[in-house]
Amino acid sequence: MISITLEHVSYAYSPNTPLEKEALRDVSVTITGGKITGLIGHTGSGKSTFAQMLNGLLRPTSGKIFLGNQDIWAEPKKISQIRYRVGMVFQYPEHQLFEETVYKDIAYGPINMGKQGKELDFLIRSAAEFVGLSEELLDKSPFELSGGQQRRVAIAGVLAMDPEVLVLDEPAAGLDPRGRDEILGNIRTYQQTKSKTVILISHSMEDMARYSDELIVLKDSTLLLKGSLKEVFQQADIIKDAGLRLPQVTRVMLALKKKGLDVDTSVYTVEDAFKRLTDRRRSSC
Amino acid sequence: MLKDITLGQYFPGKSPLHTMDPRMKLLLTIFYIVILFFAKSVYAFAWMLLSTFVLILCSGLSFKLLIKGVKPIFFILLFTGVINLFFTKDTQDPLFSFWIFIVYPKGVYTAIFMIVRILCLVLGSSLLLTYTTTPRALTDAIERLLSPLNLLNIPVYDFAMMMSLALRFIPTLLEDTVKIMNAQKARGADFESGSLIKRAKALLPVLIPLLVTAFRRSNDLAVAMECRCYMGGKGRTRMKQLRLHASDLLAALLFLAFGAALFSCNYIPTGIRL
Amino acid sequence: MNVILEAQNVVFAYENEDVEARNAVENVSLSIERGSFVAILGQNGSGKSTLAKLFNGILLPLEGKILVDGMDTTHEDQLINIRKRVGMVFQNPDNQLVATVVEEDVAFAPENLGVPTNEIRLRVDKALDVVGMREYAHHAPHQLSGGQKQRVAIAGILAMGPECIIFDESTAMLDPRGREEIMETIRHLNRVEQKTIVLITHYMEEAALADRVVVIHDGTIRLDGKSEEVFRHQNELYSIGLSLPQATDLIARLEESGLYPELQGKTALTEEEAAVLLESILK
Repeated sequence: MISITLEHVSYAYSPNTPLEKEALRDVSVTITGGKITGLIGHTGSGKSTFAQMLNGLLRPTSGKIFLGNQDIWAEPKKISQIRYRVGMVFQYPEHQLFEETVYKDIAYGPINMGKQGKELDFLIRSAAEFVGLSEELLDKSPFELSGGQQRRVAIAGVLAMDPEVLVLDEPAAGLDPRGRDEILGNIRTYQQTKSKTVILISHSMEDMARYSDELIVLKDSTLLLKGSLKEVFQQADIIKDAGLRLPQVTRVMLALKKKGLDVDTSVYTVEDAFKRLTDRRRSSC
Repeated sequence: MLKDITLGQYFPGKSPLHTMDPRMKLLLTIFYIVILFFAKSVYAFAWMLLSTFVLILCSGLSFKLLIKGVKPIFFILLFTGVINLFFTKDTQDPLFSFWIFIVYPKGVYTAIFMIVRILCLVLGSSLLLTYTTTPRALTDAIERLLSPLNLLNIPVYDFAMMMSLALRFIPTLLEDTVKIMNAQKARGADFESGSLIKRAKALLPVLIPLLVTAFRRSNDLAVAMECRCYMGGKGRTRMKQLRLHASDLLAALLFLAFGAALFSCNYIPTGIRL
Repeated sequence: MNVILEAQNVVFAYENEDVEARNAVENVSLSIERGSFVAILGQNGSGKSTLAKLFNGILLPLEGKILVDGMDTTHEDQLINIRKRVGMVFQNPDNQLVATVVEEDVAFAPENLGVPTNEIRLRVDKALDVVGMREYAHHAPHQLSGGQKQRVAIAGILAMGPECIIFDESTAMLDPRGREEIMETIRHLNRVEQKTIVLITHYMEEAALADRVVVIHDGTIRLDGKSEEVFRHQNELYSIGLSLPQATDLIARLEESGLYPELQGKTALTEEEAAVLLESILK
């Protein structure tokens, strides 16, 4: 259960040129090990830059990043080792598939790590299982599969490296409701079974409410807030600023409060709202 | 890094070069390039330099920007200079010699002139064409200049459409490439170290997805174009008409005058023979 | 004729399907009235996008007929007229923009149709105004956000002067802000510009905005009616892979629990409606 800590991290594109653009400014935060941390922010707030710092794709122009206790840039030549420990799934990951078979594509990461033989096979098959890919698909060409299946293959390709940390950028983007639930459910199961640290980027507060334990909010290239769902959602302006909306059920509760009713507005899922309202009805009968 | 390529890029502006009819610019560029190869004397080359300088002024672009654009050909210039410097033979006495390298006066002049010519060629065509003309205007110009070929049943418009689509998608495909590279790097791909063969192999996980993406995009695009009633070039009208103005004809005259002057310069006697 | 789009017993299957696979669209009959706002709701693979492409003549039915304003899509000489009448906006914002400059892209369709030069200018300006992108007329597509690109794509369709616009999952690749922009534009197109709108989606919050919802699964129509009525069939909707918006879901669960007789027969389509209903039961 490993944590990631950023210490005064800044990143600028094209530094010291007239085109210099600050993408992150003085961010210091610790991502708690063993939890699902949601990362939210408006477009342009620095989310994807932040994500790419975590696995060493981008190097901070100042500041340090620690994976556990280790400064990931202490030995820059070995940065690819960090990428095996912090796995990253980009948006629409199915666009990166290239191999002849699903099996081979999932194998790409572990093979780069030097895995072979039985260990390699085990990694591939268990990753496929976690994302719900049936065995008969392993021998097919990834390009024969449906979009949803391709996405699973791409995610399996990262899980097969068995990283200690997993970063996912909108893993459910473009999927229908069932597909969304399945993918996010698989990720939750994976995280819980293996006690991984997961960072989830999403625009859906409904999904955040159901799947994340903590939230990090970025705004205008800096860290705005890190806290529990309750702490963050209570500050509705923060959410609004980020161009996001609180879960619909929370907004219903807020509307009720505005009408003068005494309701608890720290309700973020339908199950929760249902329980509270029925408890209320039962107790008043 | 990929976004910094200035050679061939368009810089917006309102200078006389920017507003000139793109067909005229295209024709004048060809004329300019051809004329440059006729320069044979010192005065002709001096005239060449002067005219290029005038072009720079007409474009309204800064020198800094132009120097940046010339950087990629720096080595070509150096190479050309060196070759001509050391390997041009002459009947006069050499200036100095070292091992197999003999430098004649003619060598010095030729080196300088070659460099000047290449520089003027590159700068001139960039200033006239790519820096001051949008890719769309260029393809329009090419299409309209070639339109007589329609009579021979050659689908000129379709070719122009292909060109402008390619231009439209260059930034998009570049973005795709970066995304794919990042995704594969996150899985341990290494594009920087190793032998040439190793690095070439490492590109396969980038090229294949890129090809697939490009095909997917073009498929979607074809359907979208059909839905917007694309039928090739027949019966097409245009929102923006290209019309020649007096200023364009004036420019043409000036260029002709420049060409004539260049020729005449060749006949002014100088002490320097090339 | 009041019906602008009509499917009559349409069957369609994609080539190179496995032998056991079913048809993508199985004996579907559907009529869409002029000026209406219809949502076609279904999960991925349900056949909704296939239906959209059939309506535009991109795909031709294996059996049955598709009529667009009376014109049969299998009549090749009618295809241009059909596409002028029914425009289509797709899912990927980038893969619809052909030009390097926004206003040139919007001009693409009228130019193809041979519209006179000055009229093209008027149409382009008007279309950009309707979608609120006039100030971006000289921008390049790659400088725009997803929502902006889609709006330009919509403008490009509007410039053709269609009566009906089909949106094939046009918000699926957008962020919440982009999605809102597009839904706003769609509502405006239906209410103010009086266009017939067919919205293909798997988002129930979007379908809730339409007057009529057609639910499709495995190539057949399962439900068809006003949104309030369709959304009452929660169990069926769940079983075919859709999920109710949270507000609707909450009211539905409360009604089902039996603890709230006041909620019998009531449905909330939006959070406002849910708040109103809850207010009445909590007071």
